[in-house]
Amino acid sequence: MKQIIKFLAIAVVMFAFAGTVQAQTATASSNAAAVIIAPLSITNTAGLHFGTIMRSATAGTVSIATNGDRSSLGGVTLSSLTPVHSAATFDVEGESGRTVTITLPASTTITNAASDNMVVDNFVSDPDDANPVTLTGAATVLRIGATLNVGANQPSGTYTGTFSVSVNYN
Amino acid sequence: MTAKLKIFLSLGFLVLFNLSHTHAQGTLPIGATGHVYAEIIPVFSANEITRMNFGRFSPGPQGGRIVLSPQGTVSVQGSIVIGVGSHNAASFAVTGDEDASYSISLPTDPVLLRHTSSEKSMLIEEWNSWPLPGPGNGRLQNGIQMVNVGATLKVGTIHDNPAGVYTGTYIITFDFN
Repeated sequence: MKQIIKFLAIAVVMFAFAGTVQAQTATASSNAAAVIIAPLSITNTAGLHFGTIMRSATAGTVSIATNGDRSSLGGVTLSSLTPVHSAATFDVEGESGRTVTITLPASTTITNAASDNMVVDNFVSDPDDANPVTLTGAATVLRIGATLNVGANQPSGTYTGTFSVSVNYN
Repeated sequence: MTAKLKIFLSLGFLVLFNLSHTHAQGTLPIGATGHVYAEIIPVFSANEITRMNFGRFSPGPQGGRIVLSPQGTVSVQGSIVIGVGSHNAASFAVTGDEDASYSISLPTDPVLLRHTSSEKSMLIEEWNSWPLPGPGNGRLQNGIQMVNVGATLKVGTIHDNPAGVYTGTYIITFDFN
């Protein structure tokens, strides 16, 4: 019976020590919480341009790769006339070493002066939006391509529109 | 008393830790807008409907020049005698967007016509067309326009240009802006 009481006393002391140890660990966590990370920013530096395209009576598609290369399928012919084609670029800046997730739009619609429209979809990016991207001290350049769906006998004109790209810390 | 205080501090830090975690999850995505552009143009085409043909003629002792107008009329200079048979200006069918304008560019250097069975040749120069060459003179009123092209053929003596058929090719450019 006497032995049991002593055992309890020791347990109380250990608990007190345990509490002390925990308090010290928590102090370390408090320092970590005070770290400030740089805000994320993303800036559009170049538009996505499909260039000049000759239509026909058959629908087709024009794709811009992330490196700016252009290809076509179906009833469209690529023209070298100006305006020429290019991939879009964005500068992403934030805390070096942190990873971010890139979110691309599913699609967007572009229109001409006569309100004719075309759908732009299959957006692709480099770095790939499927994987987290680790930021560096310098701006990370995000290159974006997509596919333009040109209708049969698509009316002539300059088509314009916008699309949104977002980034978020993981 | 000391133990109680330490436990309190410990709880306090736990709350702080949770706040930090919540902050990380609540980071709002940052977005930017990019612009998309595309220029759609129709497929313009130009096809030769009629070949340029200076017709049959005899150079005579001095030779001379045969002037073929875009309208297809022929006039001669020098000792040339026009023979029997047809002659005509070249004609091209240009198609594309209704009311689209375009420019016609004719050869600037002389074009060589070669005798089909010898090394003899003749030069074609002074090209002209209707519509006139130059920026924006062509217009596809109903999505089509016929372009007629004429030129002047320089003919040598009968020795320089023996009888026979002379052929050659030239390039005409239709430029849609």
